[in-house]
Amino acid sequence: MLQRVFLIAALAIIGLLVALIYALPTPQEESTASADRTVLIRNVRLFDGETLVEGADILLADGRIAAMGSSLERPAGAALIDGIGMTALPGMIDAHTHSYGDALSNAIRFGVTSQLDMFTPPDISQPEVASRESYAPRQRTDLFSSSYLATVPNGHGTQFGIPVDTLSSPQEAEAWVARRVEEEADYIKIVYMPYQNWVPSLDRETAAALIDAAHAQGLLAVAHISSLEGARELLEEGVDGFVHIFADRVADQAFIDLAVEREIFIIPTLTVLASASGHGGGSDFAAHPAIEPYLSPLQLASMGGGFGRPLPGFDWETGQENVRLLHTAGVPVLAGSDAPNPGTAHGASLLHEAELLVEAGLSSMDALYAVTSNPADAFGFSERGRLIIGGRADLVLVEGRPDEVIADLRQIRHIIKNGSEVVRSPQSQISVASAGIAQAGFSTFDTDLAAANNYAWQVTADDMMGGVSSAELAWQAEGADATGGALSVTAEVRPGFMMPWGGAALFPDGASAEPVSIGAHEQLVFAFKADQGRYSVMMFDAAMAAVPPTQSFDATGDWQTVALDLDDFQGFDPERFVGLAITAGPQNGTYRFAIDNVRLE
Amino acid sequence: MSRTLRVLTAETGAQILANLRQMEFIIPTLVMPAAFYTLFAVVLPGSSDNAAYLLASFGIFAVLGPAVFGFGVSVANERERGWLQLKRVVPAPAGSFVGAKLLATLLVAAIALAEIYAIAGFVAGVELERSVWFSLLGVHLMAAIPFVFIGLIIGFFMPSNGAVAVSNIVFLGLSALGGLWIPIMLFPPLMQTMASYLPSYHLAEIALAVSGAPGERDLAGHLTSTLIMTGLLGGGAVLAWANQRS
Repeated sequence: MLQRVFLIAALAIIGLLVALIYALPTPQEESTASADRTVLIRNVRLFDGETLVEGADILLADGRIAAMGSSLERPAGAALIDGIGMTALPGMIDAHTHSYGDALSNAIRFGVTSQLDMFTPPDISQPEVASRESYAPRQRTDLFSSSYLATVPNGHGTQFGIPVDTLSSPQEAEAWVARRVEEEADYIKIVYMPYQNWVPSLDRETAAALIDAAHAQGLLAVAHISSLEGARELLEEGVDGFVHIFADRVADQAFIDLAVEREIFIIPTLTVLASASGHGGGSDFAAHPAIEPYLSPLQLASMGGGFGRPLPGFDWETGQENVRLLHTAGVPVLAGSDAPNPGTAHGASLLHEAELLVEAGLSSMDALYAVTSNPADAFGFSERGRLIIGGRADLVLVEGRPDEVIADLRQIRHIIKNGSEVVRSPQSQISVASAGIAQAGFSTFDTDLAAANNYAWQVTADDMMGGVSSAELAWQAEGADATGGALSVTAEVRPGFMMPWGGAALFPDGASAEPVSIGAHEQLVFAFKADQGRYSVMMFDAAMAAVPPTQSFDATGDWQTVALDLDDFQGFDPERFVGLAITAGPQNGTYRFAIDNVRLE
Repeated sequence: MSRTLRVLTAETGAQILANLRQMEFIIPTLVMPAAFYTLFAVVLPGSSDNAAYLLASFGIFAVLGPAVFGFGVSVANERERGWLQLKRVVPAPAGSFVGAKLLATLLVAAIALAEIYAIAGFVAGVELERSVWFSLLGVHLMAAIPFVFIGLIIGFFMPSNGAVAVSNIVFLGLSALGGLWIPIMLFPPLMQTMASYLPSYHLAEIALAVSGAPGERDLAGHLTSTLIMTGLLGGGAVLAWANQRS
């Protein structure tokens, strides 16, 4: 009897344990990896990068497209996707990005399966060279890159705090390109910005030498230009394509003819032009119910951001017109977002770009070429941007007919990378400061420069970004009110950075930079006195966009009260306030101004 | 069935019945590990990130209780009541007494482990390969052996009321100082050094290595330490049996 007790107890417990372990969850990858990754897509409207077919079947196996046709047999064990009502298109290519952080995992959530980076340090781009050749399941975008960009010391591209391999003479071009080849760069990107005086630029001879060196070493040479004349000169020197559309002047017929004759391509990056020209639209696009859930908090902040003010030389209508003219003449248009610049975000902004291209005059079908086969042809990809039998199975299924209504691209239902479904989980947006700000008033400057809430005033100038402006802070006896006292700022704003500035910043004192909520307040209010001129207020939140949300105001020459609505700082998150800055610039000169009674109301 | 095996299974059956009659022993051993694991890995804020990590160490905790109490307290009791003297004169091998207790303890520990695994898998969302679940179960059950030796030493040396106190100290000490509740890297350096002399620490590290927890681990070193400690404790238990207090 005792033996039976033992046997029953032992068997029961062992049985329980084995059953339990078989019931316990195992990692998801196991099931997808152990299956032979066969997927059949049935009855889908198919755009293969070239033409449209209705009612097609697509069979994917082992990361490649095994068959396309009608009424394909479903192999045993193949997963089935019902494609009725959906359009399948090649995984999209974003032809202009900058990659760091979560760029590649963010982009793939919006159906971008390949990205052409236009400047990132090689320690980011080089590891991607081997992995992008794999056909294994992958939850991130494949990356191609120029590695460093070609620019002069202190030129555009050097302002981000990343050391850049610069050059300044034609003699250095060959070795410079050879170093990029060494870093496994896929093409060369040249910054050519003559005829402006914000920032130094390569001269024409060096740019020409770079183009020749790139071609001699088997690479395409693409160029960042900011003016029609700059573009014309590089066309004459044999550039392969432009990574932005110029928006200073409308292209003339001679330019268009030359562009057609030289068979160049353009990557207009209208999303960033919209942001730089003040046209905006990034935040509206981000707010769309099919887009917003899939944006990370940083992406959402980035799409809501702006350059603070319209940048000179970037006219929205001119840019649109240039895209239309070149496209009509037959110059291939490639969609690129220039993410993560202010107003853009990886992935989402390529969908936005496609819509902006249609707004500029492309048909929806042309916009589909711009996100798929046009970049593939321009950069020589055979199995990206096109669906071909035996080729890489990167594709996107969207609800609707994006070839007729481009906005249907937003309605992504399936993203397939290397033949396996990408898990497209909504991103959580919660990251709210734990506490609000203790005191609405920051500083009255009655006797000194002290600030409440453990904040402190400090100098801010573009020298932190490589510029040469500077500023000094002092206490002055004359204040805006009877109690006297104010913060006196002297700023020397000098050219050297794209948008030079100098002024006073209010940041948490010491190391504690915990964001706090100021959402209970509506306005930032302060007293201000300066000679006439334009001044700016920048807001900093925990997302820290590349260019902080900014509002400008004009000085009257006497004490004035400046009241700025927090809502009008585009993209600013008042729940995660970190600091603010009151600055002079970007016009050069010496500025003296006084600030008093800084508070939130 | 050989005679030894018959005796062993019969003794184990008796021990299981004895355990069932000692609800004050069974219930804490079956409830406490699961309750603690739920608290640390599910309920406390931010704990869900640690559910997989804590599964490895709380599994050791789950077998520690039955081993130390089941042996320490019950052996001391039985010895005082003269049961062990009787055992010495009955025609059954002495080993079957310890073997039966070990098997009965493993069965209790297995139930405690099953509860923790179920909470980890179904509530805390821990996902492991099936082979890893099995290996982890193996490590956790084998961990009972050194703890049983500790229990035996207590049981043979301590009077029954003292055994309860000492078992408690040993149980809590091995748990807390061995890093079964809170990862050892959060300890001050002195306590980390102390932990390296405790079998519970090395066993938890082995379980962490098997479960694929992040961080580098010297698996061979932990196995060696565990084997040496188990050997010493086993020797101690044999000595204690021979020199038990009467």
